[in-house]
Amino acid sequence: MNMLRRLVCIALAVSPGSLAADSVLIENARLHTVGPQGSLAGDMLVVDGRIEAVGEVGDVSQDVRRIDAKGRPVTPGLFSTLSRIGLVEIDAVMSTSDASVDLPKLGPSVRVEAALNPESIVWRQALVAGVTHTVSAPNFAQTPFAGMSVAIRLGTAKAPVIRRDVSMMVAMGEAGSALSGNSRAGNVALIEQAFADAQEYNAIGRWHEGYAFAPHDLRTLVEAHAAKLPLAILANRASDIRAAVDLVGKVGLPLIIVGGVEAWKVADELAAAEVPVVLFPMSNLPSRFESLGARLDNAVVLFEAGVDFAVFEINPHDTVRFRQSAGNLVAEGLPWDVALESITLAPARIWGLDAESGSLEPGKVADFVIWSGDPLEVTTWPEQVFVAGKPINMRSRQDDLFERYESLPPH
Amino acid sequence: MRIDARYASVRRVAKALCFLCLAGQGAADAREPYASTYKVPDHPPVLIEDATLLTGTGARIDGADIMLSDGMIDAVGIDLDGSKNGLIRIDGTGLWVTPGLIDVHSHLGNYPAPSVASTADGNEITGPNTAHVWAEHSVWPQDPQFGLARAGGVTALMILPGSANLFGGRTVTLKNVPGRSVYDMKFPDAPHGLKVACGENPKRVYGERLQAPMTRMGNVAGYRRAWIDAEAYRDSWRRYHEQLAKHEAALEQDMEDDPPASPQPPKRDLGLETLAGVLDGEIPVHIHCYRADEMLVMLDIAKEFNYEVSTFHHAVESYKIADHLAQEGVCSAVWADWWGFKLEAWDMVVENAALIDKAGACAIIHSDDPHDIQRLNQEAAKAMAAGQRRGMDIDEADAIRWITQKPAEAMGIDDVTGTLEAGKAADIVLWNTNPMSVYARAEQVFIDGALVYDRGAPSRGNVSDFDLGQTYLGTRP
Repeated sequence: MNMLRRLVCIALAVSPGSLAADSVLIENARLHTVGPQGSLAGDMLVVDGRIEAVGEVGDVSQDVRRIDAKGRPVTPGLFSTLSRIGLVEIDAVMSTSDASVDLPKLGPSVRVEAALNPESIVWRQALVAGVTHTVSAPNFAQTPFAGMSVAIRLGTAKAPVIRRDVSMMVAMGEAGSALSGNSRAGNVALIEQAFADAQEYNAIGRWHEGYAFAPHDLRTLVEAHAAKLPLAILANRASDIRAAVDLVGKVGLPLIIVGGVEAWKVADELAAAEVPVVLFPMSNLPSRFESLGARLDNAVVLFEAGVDFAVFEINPHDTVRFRQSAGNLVAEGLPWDVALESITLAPARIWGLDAESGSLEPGKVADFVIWSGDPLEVTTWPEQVFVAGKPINMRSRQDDLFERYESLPPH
Repeated sequence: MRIDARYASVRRVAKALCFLCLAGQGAADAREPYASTYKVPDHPPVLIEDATLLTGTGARIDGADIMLSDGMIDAVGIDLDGSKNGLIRIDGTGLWVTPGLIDVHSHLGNYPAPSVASTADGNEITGPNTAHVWAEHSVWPQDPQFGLARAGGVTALMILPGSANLFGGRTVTLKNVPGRSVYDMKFPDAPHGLKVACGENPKRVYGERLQAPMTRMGNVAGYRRAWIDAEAYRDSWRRYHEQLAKHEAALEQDMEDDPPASPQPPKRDLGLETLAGVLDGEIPVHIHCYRADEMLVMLDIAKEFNYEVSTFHHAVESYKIADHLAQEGVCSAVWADWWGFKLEAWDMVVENAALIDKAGACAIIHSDDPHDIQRLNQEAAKAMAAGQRRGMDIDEADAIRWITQKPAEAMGIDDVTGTLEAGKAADIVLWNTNPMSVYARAEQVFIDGALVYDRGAPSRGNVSDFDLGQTYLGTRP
């Protein structure tokens, strides 16, 4: 079916005169709930922007807005586990890139929500690609603390932040070493010292120059400690992952491993310690000495060992690749529904946001997608993205470009 | 008369070396320096039966057989004769066969894994014109990424110098086979290419050093000056060869008196030899270029100096000038959906390849990446689906050409590989399902009829020296 006809279909399916209705019924859908109901054919009722019922929805009032999914798959909006959406527009244009704070002695207290730009072209492109949620994180610059990540809901541009201070981003392994005197030993010492300094500073109430971090950084670490904020620690080598587990044991905070290229080697330990892993599944190159054990089925090993994991795509432009990598995990042996979960519910759960998002369950926000086919395939696309139960405008700048050049002028 | 200064001089050097080795060792290796040492391996004949074939010529044939013998595709058809001695029969039911995938843009071996300072051998960033360097002299054949690309079905690839310089140097085309030397991998008789870069990279790299080029106009001036030098160099060799011919003729005709003095050859210049090779039509030109307007300027330069451009690489905006590219017969090697990492990559549309194809121009999907080269089929699939979403009439039989036949054309190897046709090299991939699916995996990969990758039985060839001793070996790759 061509694009125009499909747009017309959707326009027709969205019945006119229903703008005032606060109820939406998605009919005739293949619902992949990623919740207790699993996958089923049926309807989904949305009331006041939240999911009311899934599957059998019972009697529905006449003035409900009805949208026929025509048997196509419906999934929760994708949750881009860890990205720079809203922080980076064009990587090489420094004035559009706010991910890294390139200052000495500034790390833990960096909070990126002030830099978020919901008007961003990249943001909109992610949304029309089916990404309704992400955790945007600062990048490492001069210290092994990059600062706090923030959770955002892409469809609510005016107030996109759904949680500040989701996790504190910390670098260990090669990246951490490079920011800590070029040694992993220095890295561990620096991180531990930062927490010890924070405690001392909190106790005596006076900052002195011997501290490695500025007063507001130390205050942030105290707050993080009080709030039991998870440390999202970049670690890839098996020994670095173990070191991260040891370190959080000492500082007394929850741990989320980011990267985790060799996590499969320590899968049983991670399962026992209940440490989740946020990973980029396509990492199968021994491109660093900390990733010599890289393999495509890392996530499959973690799944089989009972480790919670989610897929991430840090590059804000690569939102199609985000679901593509989940599809590849199926080819490597992961069950299909687990792969879908790894880009929807699993990130929500790992970041502690699953009460509101990540699955099609009554009570959750109604951010979801109707797909043209299997959402993990590379040959499918989002037919329609919904935010709070309402179909969004699916146009993006790329549509404008396409239409301008679809037919070239004679020359 | 078309004299290639490069080949003439290389041959002369080779001859001189050969006299020495004859004198020194008796039995001489007639190999010219830098020539391929690849040999088609012995292999049993293979018959794949009842598979779905994407031929790379635009056709899909269901329930078809394909016979490989003596390194070649022997036959493609229905119910081929399976009585050959020693024949290996493969039941292709449910399986798909495509030509071996070909990547026209790769840095495997010159940006290998591990990616550390001591292995970064892709960019000779010491001057904006390094036409004198050859990518093959940076290729590390033990790069583990070759084996991973092989597992993704890649049977041939072109390794390019990086894009920091206006003229990056010579490219090299490889067969994706294990080797102890790059010459064990070098694709026999494939031409070198010339890597040229336009746009942001050269002007940024040198502008930051307060050197030329600092601007796009500086870029263009840099190319034109170099081509003027190349013309003069080519002409000096032409004059030399003319004088030499006269001299030799005079020697033959008139043995008395004073024969004319033997002419002195010009001094060789490696960079100008490369550029003169382009002017002589021996070396295809591969231009890293993103923006439509800049590609058109690059075509004007080619007109001014009378050479042809083979391929624009990255070519994010080719869709804006697809009509021009069709008219000029220039290929565009593009990504499916990479964009936004710099300003000149801002105007990407996922329909780029489909629009180029629709305009009748040559579309190629390339990787320029050690991850994506493992999944070129998925990149082609995304680009195909983007066209289908717009209602364009393209399917997997069309899209497979973007990663087989078309790159083979761009690299000048399409007479020997890139399609499933009798008489072509038996470079093929056997897929477990439609290769345009994210769930597809290469089951077996053949190069010149020899099994070089078997998903069920990892072999030494797919474990590089660097991989040895790693703890994942022996587990599922």
